[in-house]
Amino acid sequence: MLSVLQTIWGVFLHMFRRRVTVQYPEQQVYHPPRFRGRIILSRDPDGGERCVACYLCSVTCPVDCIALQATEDEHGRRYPAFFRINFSRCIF
Amino acid sequence: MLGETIRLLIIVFGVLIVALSTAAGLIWLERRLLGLWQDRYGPNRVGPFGLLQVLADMIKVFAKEDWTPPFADAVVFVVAPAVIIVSVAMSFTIIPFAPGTAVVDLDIGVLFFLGMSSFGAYSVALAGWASDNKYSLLGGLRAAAQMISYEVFMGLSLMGVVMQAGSFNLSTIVEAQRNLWFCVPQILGLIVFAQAGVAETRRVPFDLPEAESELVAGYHSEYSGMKFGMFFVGEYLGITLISALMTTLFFGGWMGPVLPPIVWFSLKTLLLICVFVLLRASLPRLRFDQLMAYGWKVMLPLALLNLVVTGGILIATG
Repeated sequence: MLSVLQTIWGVFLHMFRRRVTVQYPEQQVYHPPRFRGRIILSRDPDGGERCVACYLCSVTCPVDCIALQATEDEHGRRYPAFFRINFSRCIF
Repeated sequence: MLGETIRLLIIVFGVLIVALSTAAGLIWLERRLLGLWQDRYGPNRVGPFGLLQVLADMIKVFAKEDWTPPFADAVVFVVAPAVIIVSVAMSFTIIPFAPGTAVVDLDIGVLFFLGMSSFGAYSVALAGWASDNKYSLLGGLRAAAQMISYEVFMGLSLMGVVMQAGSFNLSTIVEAQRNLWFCVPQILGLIVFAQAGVAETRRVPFDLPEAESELVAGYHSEYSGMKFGMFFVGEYLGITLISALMTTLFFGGWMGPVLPPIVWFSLKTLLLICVFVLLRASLPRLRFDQLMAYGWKVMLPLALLNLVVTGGILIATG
């Protein structure tokens, strides 16, 4: 019986606690500075891929879900022959 | 004569409108308070402080398909939700909100309330039975057992108050608390009545008839649209009613300094409603055998003890 009253009192005291809800659109959660969000392959204004096939993303990816193959075009510019993201493995 | 009729009409419709809008407002209040006690916000998007949530919910519930299952006993199925609203709304007629402001000044006020609350038990039991669904039936059976057994000592717990005031009339009972509110000499009665009241409105921790984690939604599993809405409003009306009665019987009704009587009455009632919500925020549901054992082995003896002690003291002091 006493424990019931203690429970009620304990819940009542929660009135004075801070709420944990984040009011999302107005209030943003903290993002670490290096947070990049969902993985995308960005394009230049003409619609071509901006990737120079440096493999950095592939190396960084903790679950190794990015696969690409580098080649060069006739001007010596590097570009990926293929660029694959395994979304079934991606942890974002 | 005409003035008297108009006054009465104003009281009748005033009580009805205030009771129904309080019940509607409680939907919002309960969710906000639950949020507050669970460290979150509750509905706060629709309108200022989320107040228009009630309106949005109402539009939604009216727009829903009002479906009667083909296997249900159609007549009883439709009547059951109406019964709960009628029985609770009828009980509001006897409550004195301020001196001389009650729909009827019944000399058997307390008895009338007890009768009406028994009547309300029909609604839930019939709804469970008419749905022809095993979960509904279980909910209805539980509700019937729970409400009938908790009614026994709900009545008994009020007898102490009646003995002290010497009347079943609620206005007289309030007047009798001019010197000392009954919550002090009748503390046992208050404790028993409060718990019986929670059981009678089928609220947590006595919400076994609904018990959504085991019985889908209990007796109103098969109800949709506004028929479901009526059970919902009936529940909130019930909370308001029990709080108003507790105010009247134990906390001096409209009595209080400075502020006008109606304000005191509303404040006390609102506070008690918040206690109802606090109970919901903090307590888990009882098991069915615990509920019955608690009722018959703890609450009933307590109510009888209160009755005997009050009677003894009243006789001793003449």
